[in-house]
Amino acid sequence: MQYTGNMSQAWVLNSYAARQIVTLKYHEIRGPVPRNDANEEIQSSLYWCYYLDRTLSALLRRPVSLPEPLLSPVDLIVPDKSLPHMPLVRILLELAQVQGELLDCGKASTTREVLDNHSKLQERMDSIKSNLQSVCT
Amino acid sequence: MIETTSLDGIYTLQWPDHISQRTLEKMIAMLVNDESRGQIFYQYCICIYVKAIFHLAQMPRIYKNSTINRQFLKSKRLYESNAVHALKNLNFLGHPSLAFVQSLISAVCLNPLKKAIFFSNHFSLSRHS
Repeated sequence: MQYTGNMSQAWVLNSYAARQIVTLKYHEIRGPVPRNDANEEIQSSLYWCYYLDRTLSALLRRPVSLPEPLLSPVDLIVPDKSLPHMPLVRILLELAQVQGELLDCGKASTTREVLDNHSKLQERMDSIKSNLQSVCT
Repeated sequence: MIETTSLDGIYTLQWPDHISQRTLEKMIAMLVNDESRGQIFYQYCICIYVKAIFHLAQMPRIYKNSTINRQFLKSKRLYESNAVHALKNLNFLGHPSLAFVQSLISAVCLNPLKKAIFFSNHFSLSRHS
């Protein structure tokens, strides 16, 4: 990749990662997952790819590349007490889930569906906001 | 004497990503021991260089000496160039693997705009910032 700041290239690279994850069936991981280095590497690759996929796709208004994992991305986070920012990663993943759902909002065919989606997302964002406030205090 | 704020906060600068400290150590050990060949070599290079780039990008928060920071910037540019070189050597038709996935995610992080969005500006990364 050229070091150009091109988000489109970032999206393309991440979509390659997503396709490899699908080929390797990492997105089909079910809990509880035994704790070992290999599984932790797989889980963190999966949720970072998910985060980048949903965020870049929302930014560029393109379809997502990674199917919804069987385990919620938030549940894939491996606790690491040496990294004080991990609670923020949890919030980033919750936001990424909302961004993924935003992309689906365009599929709503009736006003009722649009309003339902809107209020669901509003509730999610309120919950994320309160989580963020509790992390920051 | 190097003018710094506090060095004991250096680890609080580390933003979590898909390459843990243990994984990074394993990758570096493989390269140092010359145990990686072909695609694995390039995949590990990307992961390690990108990790180093992010680490160096945080250094001006600790070191206030402009000479030192110019050197950090020089090293950062060299690592960026090396990471891009390794990325160009990836075989996208090769077999999928965890290391390949990790290197692709690291390559996404090379994007400076992404860096600005995801790693620097949204949150204060340390008590020194």
